[in-house]
Amino acid sequence: MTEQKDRELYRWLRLIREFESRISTLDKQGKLMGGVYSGKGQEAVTVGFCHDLRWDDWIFPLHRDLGAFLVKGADPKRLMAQIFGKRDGFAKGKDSYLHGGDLANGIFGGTSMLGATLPVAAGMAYKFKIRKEDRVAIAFFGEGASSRGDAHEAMNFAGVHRLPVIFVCENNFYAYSTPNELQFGVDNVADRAAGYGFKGEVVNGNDLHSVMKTAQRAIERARKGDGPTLVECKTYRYHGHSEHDRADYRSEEEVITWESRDPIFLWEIYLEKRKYDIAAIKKETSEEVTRIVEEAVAFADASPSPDGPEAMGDLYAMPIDTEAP
Amino acid sequence: MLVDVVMPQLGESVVEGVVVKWLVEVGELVAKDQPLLEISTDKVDAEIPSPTAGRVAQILAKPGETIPIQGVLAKIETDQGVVVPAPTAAPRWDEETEGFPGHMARKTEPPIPAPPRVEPSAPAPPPPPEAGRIRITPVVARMAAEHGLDLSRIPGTGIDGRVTRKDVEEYLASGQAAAAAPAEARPGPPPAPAKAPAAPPRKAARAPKAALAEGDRVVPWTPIRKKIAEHMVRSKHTSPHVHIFAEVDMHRVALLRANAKKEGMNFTYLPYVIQASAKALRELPAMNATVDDESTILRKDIHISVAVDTEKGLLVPVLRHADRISLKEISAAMDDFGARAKAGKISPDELSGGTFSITNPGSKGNLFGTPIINQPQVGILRLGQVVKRPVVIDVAGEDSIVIRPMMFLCCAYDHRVIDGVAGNGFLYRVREILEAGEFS
Amino acid sequence: MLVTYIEAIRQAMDEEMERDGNVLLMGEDVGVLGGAFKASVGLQEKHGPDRVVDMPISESLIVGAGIGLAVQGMRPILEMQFIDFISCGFDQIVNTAATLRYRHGGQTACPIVIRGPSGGGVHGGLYHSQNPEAWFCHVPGLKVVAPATAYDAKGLLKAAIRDDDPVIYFEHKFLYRRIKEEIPAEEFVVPIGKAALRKEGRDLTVITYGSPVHAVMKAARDMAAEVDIEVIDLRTLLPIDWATVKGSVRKTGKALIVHEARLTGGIGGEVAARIAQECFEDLDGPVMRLGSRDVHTPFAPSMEEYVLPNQEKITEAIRKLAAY
Repeated sequence: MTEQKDRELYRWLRLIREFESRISTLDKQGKLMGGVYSGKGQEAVTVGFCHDLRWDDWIFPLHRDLGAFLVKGADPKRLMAQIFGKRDGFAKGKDSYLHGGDLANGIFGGTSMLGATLPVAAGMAYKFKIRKEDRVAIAFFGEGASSRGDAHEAMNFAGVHRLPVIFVCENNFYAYSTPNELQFGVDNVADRAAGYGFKGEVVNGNDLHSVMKTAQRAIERARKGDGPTLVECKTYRYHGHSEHDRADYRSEEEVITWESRDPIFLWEIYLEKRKYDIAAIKKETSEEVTRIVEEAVAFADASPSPDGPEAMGDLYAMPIDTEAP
Repeated sequence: MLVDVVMPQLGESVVEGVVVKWLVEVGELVAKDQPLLEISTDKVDAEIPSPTAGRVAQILAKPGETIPIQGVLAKIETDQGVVVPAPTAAPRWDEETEGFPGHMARKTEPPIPAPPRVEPSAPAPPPPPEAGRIRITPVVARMAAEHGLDLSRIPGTGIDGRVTRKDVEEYLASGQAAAAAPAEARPGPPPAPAKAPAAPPRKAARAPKAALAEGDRVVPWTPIRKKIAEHMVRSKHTSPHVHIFAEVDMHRVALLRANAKKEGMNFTYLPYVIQASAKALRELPAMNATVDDESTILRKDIHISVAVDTEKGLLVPVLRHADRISLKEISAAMDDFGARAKAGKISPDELSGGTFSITNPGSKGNLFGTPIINQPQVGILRLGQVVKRPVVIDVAGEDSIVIRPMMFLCCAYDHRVIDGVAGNGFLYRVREILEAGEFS
Repeated sequence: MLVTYIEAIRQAMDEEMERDGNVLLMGEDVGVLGGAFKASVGLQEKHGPDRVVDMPISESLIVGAGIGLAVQGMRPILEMQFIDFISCGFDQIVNTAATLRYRHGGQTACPIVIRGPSGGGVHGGLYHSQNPEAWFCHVPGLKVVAPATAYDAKGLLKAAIRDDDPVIYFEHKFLYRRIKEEIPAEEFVVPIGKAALRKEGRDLTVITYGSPVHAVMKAARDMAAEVDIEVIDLRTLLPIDWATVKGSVRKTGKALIVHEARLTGGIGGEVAARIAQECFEDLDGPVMRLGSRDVHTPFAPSMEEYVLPNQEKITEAIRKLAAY
């Protein structure tokens, strides 16, 4: 890879980290309402899978995949306004966080019903297939969502039609408080791929190189019409399920162990070994991501709150009259 | 400028938090995002970062204190220079932003076609209320029927001057209603006093509260039954009834009936009593009256309401101008009423406008009974059973015992309006006519 | 003792698990975590992991598995982490549980309780604010309850657990920690199918349930000088206590139904229809309803306020009906 690309990837990792840290702080400062689901620690997965996508590919991020929004092309300002519930957010304030997608950039917003996006991604991939478009759809989901019938149903259909879809399972070991051993009986979620008739791969989700290599293979497979892939990225979230979760269900030792495998930290070591000017890169990147995030916060703060009656908009193509006098 | 440090809402159900300890003191300089204090909620412990750089001006909550979400914990005095001025123009996001270096190259064609933008339309204003139409609610309609009220007399306090239930209750309580005449008593075209057959079905019967034994049958009131019940109760409440009795020798009438039969006319006793009553009413008009508010209206025409029993209940069609028609016509009208009442073909118009009532329970009517006045009339006559009885009469100056068809007539009159002399005089006159056989 | 609404729920589960060894709790994060809202704190420690079961993320599984346990004579309490997720278990509820007794000719019972946090007003957005009770009131074979007080939360949950039919128990998350109430220390049960007359009045009946009960009660107090309001808290939505509803409306002649759920297709429509049909001749005004506007419950506070019923809208509706 070129130095430029290496640095770019670093900036994405750092931007996501800065963006999410700022959101956590804003939440504790009483500036945000609603749930905040930090993906801090999982940045390599979204960067690795989204960076080499084309603009006309589609992604289906879940509640912790804020990074996927940014890398796929969502404007940081609008994303912050979305999280603030303001008029300039993708949902224009109608819902917060990642429920409002940025469809113009191929980002589909998910619901809270985890796994529900997987059949949608499969359906979209079916369209790519029958219209002979070399596009791909990537559905992100947690290992918890893998227990939903929707996940099984989507993968089954994708296997039947060998669809250009990639199922990316971010296994961060806890679904809220529920550990892997109470979630599934297999060793790896990816082991299930065999049951659907396509390839499953397990990858270290904190290692950006590994993620990117696996992602590139899966994307190429899909584009060529060789069918879906189920990729399981083993990773870790540093925060609780949400900002109001103490996460007492895991040990301090475990958290520290994972912090020592931090994806950004690992990438910095890589940059250093490549003998780039790491001090300059760090300084430059810090300034850049801080500026972008601060601009996003200022924008979101100043963005108007929607007026009450705006709640009635965007419900139908043509508004229907449900409140006739 | 003072900036508030507030209690955040950490979790959907969280309503308050407890201050655990302060990490800074009043007067201390703090950086933006520097932890100021520790809080604890039902769900989480957290350090609260400073919203801005500045000096801690006030600490408003002590450790251990419970503060509601968005409650102010402290105030930070900011350096004026730090404050970012509010943007003068409305913020815009850059439609074509590259966001960040390395942003993937856009194609000219978007991943999806832009959805059409549709502006919600403003709802049309409601149409203005129809002018001149009296609007009432169901309960007011019911109460008006029950109490025979003219709603146009009751001032309405509801929306658009509607008469409300409360208005009716107050009107009734004020005593005006007790003296008020029913609508049909007012001069002008006679409205229906007993619209029962044409009335829409009323509310479903309430389940009886009484305990039921096996084989007991619950018969819910039909609309006509309810109408009768309401009418009877109202009449008893409204009029002080006086019942007087006359024992009438129907000997002459019996002879006349026998003669008529020879001519092929089959009359019952009833047409004779109707004609006798009509004649008496013409001579003594006090009883041919209706009550309206605090007035008695002495009616010019004699229209006699005659009770007809049907399977569904009692109907009271009106025989108009009873004093001007022959026995034959009266008899024919009675047969017609009977047949049409059974077939349910009496029109509401035929039930209204009566000025006096007669009820004949028929051959099984027993010795006598005390009828209830048909409001707003003031009198009613009831026929008892005609029975042969030994009676003492004067035969050529001598008391003699003979067998005669005898009948008790009971007359009820409204003592509000009719005094004893008038009431007794009327019944006495009816008896005289019947006994003398003065018929046309 | 003084308890919050959510503590009342916890106590009911705890006491019932203690009373009856066949009662168990299944749901996402109900064990070690003690529930996303802490409704089951300490229960796994006390009753063991076999009876307080952390389930995979699969509402269809949670309900379906609960039915299997129930047929074996167990009495499972099945928690939906948010009641919004009940739609993921919809098929098992309406097609397996609700029909179980019926299609087996009465051979078996289905004593399950499905409970979870419903309701808005907490800036929860589209998937953490829903009030889907009306969906289930359309399904014969189910019972549906929605307590508004800590007393009812405890008493109705106990009744639901002891009931031999599937009961859907809607708890309102807005009330979880906002309601603190004295409840008896001794055992009590609130029967399913009985409404509560919260306040007597002569002029107008407000029929409500869940979170709006409190706003309606406040309105009744605040407006006492202008209108004498009777307040009925339905508590049970299937079957509705028609005798109480109709008795009150026959007395006052005016009815307003208030619920947080959306207006169109909501419980209020059913209540209004029955009143219109069966109390017609006692009505002294139109039967009125107040519910959420016919749109999803949006996130932004300004819009949420616009969409949900609130104190102001309740006062306005009462005033409008009272003036009739």
